[in-house]
Amino acid sequence: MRALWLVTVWEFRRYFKWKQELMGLLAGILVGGLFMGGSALVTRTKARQRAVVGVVDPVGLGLQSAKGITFEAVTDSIAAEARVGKGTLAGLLTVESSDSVRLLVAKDPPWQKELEQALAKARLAWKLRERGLSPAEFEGLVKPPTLNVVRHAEGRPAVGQARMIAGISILAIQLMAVMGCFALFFTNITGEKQARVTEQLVTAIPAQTWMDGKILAFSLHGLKSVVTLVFWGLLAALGALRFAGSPILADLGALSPFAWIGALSFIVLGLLFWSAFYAGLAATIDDPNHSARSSVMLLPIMPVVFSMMLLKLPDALLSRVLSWFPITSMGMMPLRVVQGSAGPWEALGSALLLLGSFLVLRRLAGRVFSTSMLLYGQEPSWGNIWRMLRAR
Amino acid sequence: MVSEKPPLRVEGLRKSFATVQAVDDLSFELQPGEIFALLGPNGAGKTTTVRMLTGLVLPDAGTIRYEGLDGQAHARIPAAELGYLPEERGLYLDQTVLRQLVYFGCLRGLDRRAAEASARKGLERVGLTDRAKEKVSTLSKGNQQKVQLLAALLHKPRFAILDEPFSGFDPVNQELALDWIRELREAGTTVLLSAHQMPLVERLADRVLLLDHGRKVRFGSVAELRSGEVANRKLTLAFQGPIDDVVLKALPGVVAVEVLGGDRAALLLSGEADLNALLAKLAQGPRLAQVTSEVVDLHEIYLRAVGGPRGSEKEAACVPSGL
Repeated sequence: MRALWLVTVWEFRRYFKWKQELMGLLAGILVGGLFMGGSALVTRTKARQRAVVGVVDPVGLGLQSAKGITFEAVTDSIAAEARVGKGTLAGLLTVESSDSVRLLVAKDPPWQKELEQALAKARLAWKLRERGLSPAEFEGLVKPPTLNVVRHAEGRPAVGQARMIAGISILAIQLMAVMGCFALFFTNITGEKQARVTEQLVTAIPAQTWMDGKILAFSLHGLKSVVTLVFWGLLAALGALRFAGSPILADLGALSPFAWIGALSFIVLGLLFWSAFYAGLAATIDDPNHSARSSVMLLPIMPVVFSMMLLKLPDALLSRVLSWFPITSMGMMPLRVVQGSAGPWEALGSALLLLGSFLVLRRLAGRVFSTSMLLYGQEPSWGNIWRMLRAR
Repeated sequence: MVSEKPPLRVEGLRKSFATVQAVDDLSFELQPGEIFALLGPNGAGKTTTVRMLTGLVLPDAGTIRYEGLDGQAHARIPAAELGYLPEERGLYLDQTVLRQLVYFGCLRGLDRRAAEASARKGLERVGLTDRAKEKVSTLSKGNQQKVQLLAALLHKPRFAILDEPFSGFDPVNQELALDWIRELREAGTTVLLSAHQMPLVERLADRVLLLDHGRKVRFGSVAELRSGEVANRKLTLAFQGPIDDVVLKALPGVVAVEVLGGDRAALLLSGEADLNALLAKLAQGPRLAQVTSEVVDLHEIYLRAVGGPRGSEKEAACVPSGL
């Protein structure tokens, strides 16, 4: 245990630099602040920028002012056209009929979308007036029937928008965690093989301990990426104040502690599982820049993609199967848990299976490493790897 | 405390890789506190033997028996008692000298404080105290080699395996390494070393094992190896006249004659050769301009044992058999 602790701390600290982490955080806050400030400035500028459009409206369409556009009634269209040419009018709108409007401009109008909306609104009002209908009567005509969804007493709570957001966030966090440590496995293990450091180390400690230390250290780096992501996510949410007063926060708060603990457990277990996979694979790679095996490193994206595709089908047979299968359970089971599709015992069973798979995988990674670490300048074939895995 | 029993006994060791027999029926034992040199050309099986001793590679057959300080027999040398300088060496270039020495010391069983104290002492010895906080990448190759040797010996091992300890050192630092290894012996450490610098090995080793194609071809102290040679003395002669190698070969005690060109020749003499009688006979021939006498050195014994200089060797890839 002492050796495992030594290796874990050594490997973690090699890539964790307080000063750089802090500088990165401050730089992030600064960039975020500049971005938000810049956005506010752009919004303000847009709000202040109004285009003056001349309107010749013999039909009586009755255009109201639109966002960013001020309409100016024009009587002398020839003079108005000259103003468009000089740029003192942004455009000249001539209503030819309720179905046809001509717009004269000197350059591409960035406010065209807003103009189209204003025209559509004015045309609808005009048509209603023509038929003797008030806007309230029209709304009553097009309003859909009210659908009252009544939950069965034995049914499960509704999956609100917040739970969907929680599910997607869990997947994003998992992906971030796994990708946060995969580069470390590549550079570290292949780098040490190339630097010939390993041979002296594994005469001091068992190869398995060395491998376990790396798996733990780099998984911690993955979790560090998660903490950073969550920090930024919360900051962005609070910064935008989008959720203030929205039922989403309350809905998230209503998720049971079991759901949160379960999601966290699957994030940690999934990270360990993929770390062990990465460690074993990296041990077989001699040069990461030229190895065909580098592409296999992208395999952990697969469960996240499957889970996203099945986001709204937590009860489907495929979803249930994938939530137990160790390679995909890290993504699928938390989704089912937050949506109330899987209960504690099902989650616990899947978690234990994932844990067992991780323990087997780390053992296999150790076996592969203990043999391939002595292969300098060459990569074992897949056949050789298979024999290493079976070796005792 | 040094045990009087041989700390390491190897019997009938065999190892093959694919089609290469890397080590073939190798047996030897080390005496406590001796410096034991493992010599041989590239591909002779030295590194494979060392890797089997450290447990990095498992033997196909044979036994390794190491008498541990715990009184138990081990099939490999326990980590805390082993100081290992591998042939394929490397350090963490991105880390500081002191930090990684402390790490290596801790992995070998020292506590942090003891590892740091030992590292600082060692750095002072090799003149790198002021470089302790610098990254290894900033050191010269020779200084990196010093750090590497220090990392292997930091924990004062009972048994040290040093594969090519002199490589990368200039002559001054080779002497430093030589003294260091001698001090290890004086402190009771048993040393197994492999090196290509024959004059250094000759000055250092108590006993030598010569390997070729995985087999033992010579074994003993340098004096024993020398006396075991048919021709163990060399007489280099310069004449003031023509040389007749047939006449030279017929002289008493001469095993072989090597004509060096012009008026020079080297006579290889047997151990029983009477030098006075030989010189008397030589005096009857052409006038001698110069006579140099020397004993056969380890380099010569080595070359004779492996059959002279060689071209490329078929080297074994170090993967377990069956792969």
